[in-house]
This record gives sequence, structure tokens and C-alpha cells, in this order.
Amino acid sequence: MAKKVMGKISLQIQAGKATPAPPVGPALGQYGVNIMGFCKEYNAKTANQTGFIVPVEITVYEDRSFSFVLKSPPASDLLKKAASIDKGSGEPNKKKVGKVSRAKLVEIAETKKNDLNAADLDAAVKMIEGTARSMGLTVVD
Amino acid sequence: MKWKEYSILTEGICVEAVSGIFHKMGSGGVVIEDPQAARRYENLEKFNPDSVSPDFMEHDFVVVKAYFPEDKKIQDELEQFLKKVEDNFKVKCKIFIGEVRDEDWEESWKKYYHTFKVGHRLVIKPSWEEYSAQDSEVVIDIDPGMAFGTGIHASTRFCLKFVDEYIKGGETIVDAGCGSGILSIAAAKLGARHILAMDIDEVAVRIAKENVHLNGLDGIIEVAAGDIIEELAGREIDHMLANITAEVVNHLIPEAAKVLPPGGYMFCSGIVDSRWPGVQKQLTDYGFAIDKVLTDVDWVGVAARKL
Repeated sequence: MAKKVMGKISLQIQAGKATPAPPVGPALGQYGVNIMGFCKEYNAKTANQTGFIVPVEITVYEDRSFSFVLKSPPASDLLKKAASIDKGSGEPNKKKVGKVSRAKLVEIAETKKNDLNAADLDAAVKMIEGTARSMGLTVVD
Repeated sequence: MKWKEYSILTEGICVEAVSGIFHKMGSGGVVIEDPQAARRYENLEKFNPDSVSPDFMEHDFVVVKAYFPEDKKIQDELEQFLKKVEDNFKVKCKIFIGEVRDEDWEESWKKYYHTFKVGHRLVIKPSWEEYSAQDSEVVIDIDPGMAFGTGIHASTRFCLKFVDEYIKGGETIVDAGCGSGILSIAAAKLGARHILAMDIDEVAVRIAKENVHLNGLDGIIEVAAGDIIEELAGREIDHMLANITAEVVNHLIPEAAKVLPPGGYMFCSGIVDSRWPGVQKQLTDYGFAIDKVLTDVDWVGVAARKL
């Protein structure tokens, strides 16, 4: 029989660098999960993606054991790559740091569709577009 | 250490944008609490959350949380970024600020860590529990604190089983990446003569020392921080324990090959199954025979004998 699920935790953290410090510690600690056990597993499984943020969705079971699945990179990382910038604008209201095409937004939305809280592709594109603008990127057709 | 917890209560559509802000501000990661996502599992997997309020499950908002050291001033910057998100998505982003301390979560998992048996002889006992050893049982007292090595994780269990099976008494061993010190302590309690336990993590070194002392093995186990490869040069050892990751294990194999005598063992663990073929090749290339392989879901542990 499948074990009863106690909780779901979604984290966006640096590949290969999980430590018991926040956000991992408090997020897992509230469920009684062995924090170091998670860090070791996550780091081992993301070691080849160091330098990237690799989101993870953790399932915690009744006996405090856990399993997890790795997800697609955060939209902000994919957008930075698409616009060839290191980081978003420090002052998003004043400064534009780069451009991204609408076609690229759709491509990113497609990539992330299953991992996003979006009803359909249109909603996913809106989500990505808003994220781009919030980072100080200009969307061009 | 004290931390400030910034929780942004908002709508699902701007989760990625809010997360992006925290990443940019150097939070080192975010936690996303999304009742909509949680609801998807509700019926699928007998989802029965005991640490979120039923109210939370009913709502449509999402909470994105990030943590910053207490003294770091970020609120003005955060508000400025969130304003942009609110304008772009036509949503509200509400900030809640709380305080947390390291100790709030460091102890929480201990409630679920209890005495258990590994292999034929070993019993792993949290230092705060009582246990009377039966017959040939060897009891290891451990308080892993924030170091890796409770003995529960598959990778540690593999090594404990190898120690139980292969350590006969009188050996000299190096424990690379000792974590809580659990493997060294097991080996010493089963009769090993001298063990050098090393870790690059200072926290692990401190905790390993405490555990070694707790088990009365200060004279047998030497715990040190530093570079294992430098320490290995010129040493004469019988076996080596390496419960780390496939990358580090692969890096250590050529060094172990130099110092282990024929018949000496390298016990490797922490290997994700997709990396096992690479480790296996490395072991074979450097003159090891694969004696025993243990697997559990997607983890692999191996006892390799120097030819």
C-alpha cells in the first residue's frame, strides 16, 4: 500500500549546494524531515547542473521519509539566458536591461507548462511575460 | 543565528516573478506554498497535510517565502520590485515578515529518529534514547546534529553493512567525508585499530569529535578537517571508506589505489545509479575488483577489493 502523504514542499535552490540553512532547513524542518538526508540526495542528483537553480518538489510521507522530483529551471533563469543578461535590472521601474521576443516567451512557457500554476498555454505565456517585464526586460514582437 | 522570513502572499500567476526577485536579491532559494498544486494531490495520494491549516487548502493565493539574515536590510528594495510585479500582473503582493532561528528546525526531525539495527551486529542508537544490547550486538551512540550520517539514508546503510561484514579487527582505516562519524565509530567498535576520519565541513568535524567522545573512542579515531588526498600520501592503510558523491569517489579512487595493499577494500557510497557505470569503470581501471554491490531505489554502494 502506498504510504500516506503528509506534505508537498516546492523549493527553488542552487544545484549541488543545498545546506540546512534557510530556505531548506525551515521548509523541511516543519515536517520533521531529516534535512541533511535531503541535502545529500539533492546535491548528488544535481551535481552536474552546478551554477543553475534547479527547482524541486518534495513529497513527505507519514513516516517522515521523502521523495522528490526535479523540475525545469525557474522562468527568471530561462529569461536571463534568452535575453543574454547576467541578472535582471536593479531598478526595474527605471532601467530596461534587455529584450526578449514573444516567440521566446512562448517557447519558455512550453518548456515550463507542466511545472507552472497555469491552466493552459495562454495563461503560462502571460505568467512568463509578466515575469520578463518585472525583471526589466522589454518584450518585442 | 536569527533569520527574517519574508512571505509574499499573492496569486499563482506571479509566482515565478516573485521567486525571481528573491533569487536576484540573493536569498539562496525560495519556498513556494501553493494550495492549488497541493489540491492536485489531495485525492491522488491520500494527501492529508497536518502542518497546513485547512483554510490554506481552500484559498487560491500562493505564498512565496525567502529568508535573509536578520540584520540585512532588504524591505525597501523588495517593495520596489514587488510594486513592478503588481503593476505588470494587476495583482496584489502582500508582505509578511516573521522571525526564525536555526534551532527552530535543527531539532525537529529528532522526534522521528529512533534506535534501529543494521547488518548482523550493529545497532544505531540516538544518544537521547535508552537501549540494552542483546548478545553480540554492538551499539553505536550517535547525535548527528546538522552533520550527515544518521544511518537511515541508503548510502550510509550500505557502508554500515560493509563495515559489519568486512571489519574483523585490527585494521587501519581512512574515512573520507566522515559526516557525523557514524561509519568510523562502527568500524572502531568492531575492532579497527586506528581510523582517520576527515571532512571538509567544519560542522561535521565538530559533531564527529563529539560522537567519537560519546562512544569513548578518542584513542582510536582521529577526526580532522582538511584535504584527504594530502593526508593520504605516504600512509599505510588497510581500507578506505568514501560515502560522498560519485564525483568525489571517482576523484579518490586513483589515490586509494596508491595506498591500499592488495586485498584492501575501498567502500564507496553516495552514488546515484546513473553515475554507477562511471564509478565502476574507474574502479576497474585502477585495479579494483568489484566484490559486492548494494542497491536501494536509485542509490548504489560498492565494496571494491584492490587486486
